[in-house]
Order: sequence, then C-alpha cells, then structure tokens
Amino acid sequence: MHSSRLSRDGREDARLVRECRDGDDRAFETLVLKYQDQVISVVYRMVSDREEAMDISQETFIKAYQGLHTFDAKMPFRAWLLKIGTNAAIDNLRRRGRGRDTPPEPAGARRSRSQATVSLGEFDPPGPESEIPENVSISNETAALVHAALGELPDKYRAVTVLHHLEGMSYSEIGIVLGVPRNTAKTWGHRAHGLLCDALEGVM
Amino acid sequence: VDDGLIESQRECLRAEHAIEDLADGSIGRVRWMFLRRHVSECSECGTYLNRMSAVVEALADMEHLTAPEDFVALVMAGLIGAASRALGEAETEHGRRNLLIVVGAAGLGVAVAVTLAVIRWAMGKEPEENLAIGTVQPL
Repeated sequence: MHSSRLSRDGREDARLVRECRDGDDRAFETLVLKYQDQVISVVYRMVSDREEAMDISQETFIKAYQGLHTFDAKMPFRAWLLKIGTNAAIDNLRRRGRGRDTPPEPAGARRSRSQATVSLGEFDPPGPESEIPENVSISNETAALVHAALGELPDKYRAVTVLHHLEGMSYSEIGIVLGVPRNTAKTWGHRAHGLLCDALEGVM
Repeated sequence: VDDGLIESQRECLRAEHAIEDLADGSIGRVRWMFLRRHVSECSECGTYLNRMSAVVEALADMEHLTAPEDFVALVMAGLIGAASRALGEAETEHGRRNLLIVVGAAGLGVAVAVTLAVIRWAMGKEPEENLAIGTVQPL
C-alpha cells in the first residue's frame, strides 16, 4: 500500500531489498553500487578522514545487509541507509572522543557590526533555476574556513548540513534519517548556518 | 523613535529569516525583493547575507567522493567474514554449551557418588553402634 507512494527509484530499491531477503546477493551488490558514493561522501564529511570513512561505509553496508529484515518499505532505502551511515559515523566519533554533543550558544551575536555593504547590483534576483546569489565568488581560503568550521560543528548540526547541502535532502527527509521532527532538523540546519557564518567573522 | 527602532528590529528579523530561507533554497520572489531593499539600507544584514552566501557556496563546493573500484568486493567479503564470524560464534556457543553439559553431568555424577558413599558409610556404621549399645546394656 505504502510502496505505491514511493518514487520509481524507491520501488526499484524495494524490489532489490525483497530479492536480497530472498537470498539474492547480486541484488545487494546492485544496491551497494548504487549508493556507495553517497554513503562514503556523507560519512567522510562527518569524520573528515578517508580511511575511516571507507571502513565505516563498509560497516554501514554490512549492518544494512544484516538488518534488512528490519527495513520498513515505507521508508526510502536511501534514507534508511544514510541513517545507518550517519549513526555509525557519530558512534565512531564518540568512541574516539571526537564527538561533539553540546551545541555552542546559538549565535545571538551572529551578525557582525562591521560596515560591509552590499550593492544591489551584486546579486541577481533568484529565479527558478537558482535561488542563491550567483555572483558572489569566494576565495579558496574562505571555502577552507567554512569546511574547517563544518568539522567543528556538533555532530547533529554537521549531519543536517551535510545531508542538506551534499545530498540535497529536504528537512523532512533529514528528519527521517536522524529520527527527529522536520522542524527540529530545520532548526539544527539554521543554527549550523549561523555557526558557519560566525567562522567568517573577520574575513568578510 | 521607539516605534521606529522596533520597526527596524522587526525588519532585521524578517531579513534574517529571509536569509536563512535563502540558504535553504526556499525563498519566494517577494521576500527576495524585500531582502534586496533591506540590505541596501542595513549594513549589518548585508554582512550577514554576504557571509551566508559564502557559506552556501562553500558547502555547494563539497563533492561526492568516488568509491574505490573494489569497494563492492570489499563489502561482499566483509559480509562473508561477518557470516563466518557469526557461524564461528554459534559453533563456539554450541561447544561451550556441550562442555557445560558434560561438566554438569560429571558434577552430578560425583555428587551422586559422594552421596551414595556417605549413605553406605552411615548404614555400615549403624549396626556397629547398635551392637555396641547391645553390649553395654546386657541387663
């Protein structure tokens, strides 16, 4: 009943999962091939170490295979898989004492008092294709600062940011992945943006 | 003056929310036009917009990593390894249970033997005591 609500891609995944449950390992290989890059990328952005990311990603697929009987076909397979991957990455960070639980103060002082100005000609109005200003180009240093600040975010904020910006997931989907309501995921996302903006204080 | 300040703060708050929605990629044209107008008058919000734009652009630069060619093979090997480990653990558990049964049975056997020995010893001793009693009380 619920599978009819899934996209074509989702139905294809559900079929592959059924075949896996029936003992067809080739179906699982197909799923691994389909999602390996996504899982590795998300895990890498969470742990910031390629070797660890590879190990955790393998572990993610093994856990997924072992837990296929618990997979609920109402949930998109991708979201379920990324949930396992994200949790595995967070567990790994905590085991190594690198997890970040306590969010820093939500930035009340997020906005600087500097006098930078924005000219109207600097941005194009958002159109259907792009809703983010296109003409703002950033230096490699600025990008590096943001990426470094991403690694310093609390685990949950980082997970939301990575899933939203790397995977293009909506806050509803992220809520499913992280097991929280959509609005919580959105709040975490906005706090993450605020903290990342704070990292640019003094630069722009 | 207070009304003006409150109105100005309210506009900044609206702008802040609009900037957050812009970062989410979910701002409508009307709010975008409001934001454009507001940042032309408010340098603080302009700075925030600049920073947010830089953050979003930097995050958009994140690329997917490509899995190594042998990743699928590694996962499938890992599955076989995990299955063997599970099987090994099951066998170990089975062996442990068998050992426990043998040890238990042996313990029970020893206990029974000791009990029987004690009973036999007690029964063997009783007639002597009776005899002794009989000897002491001839009258």
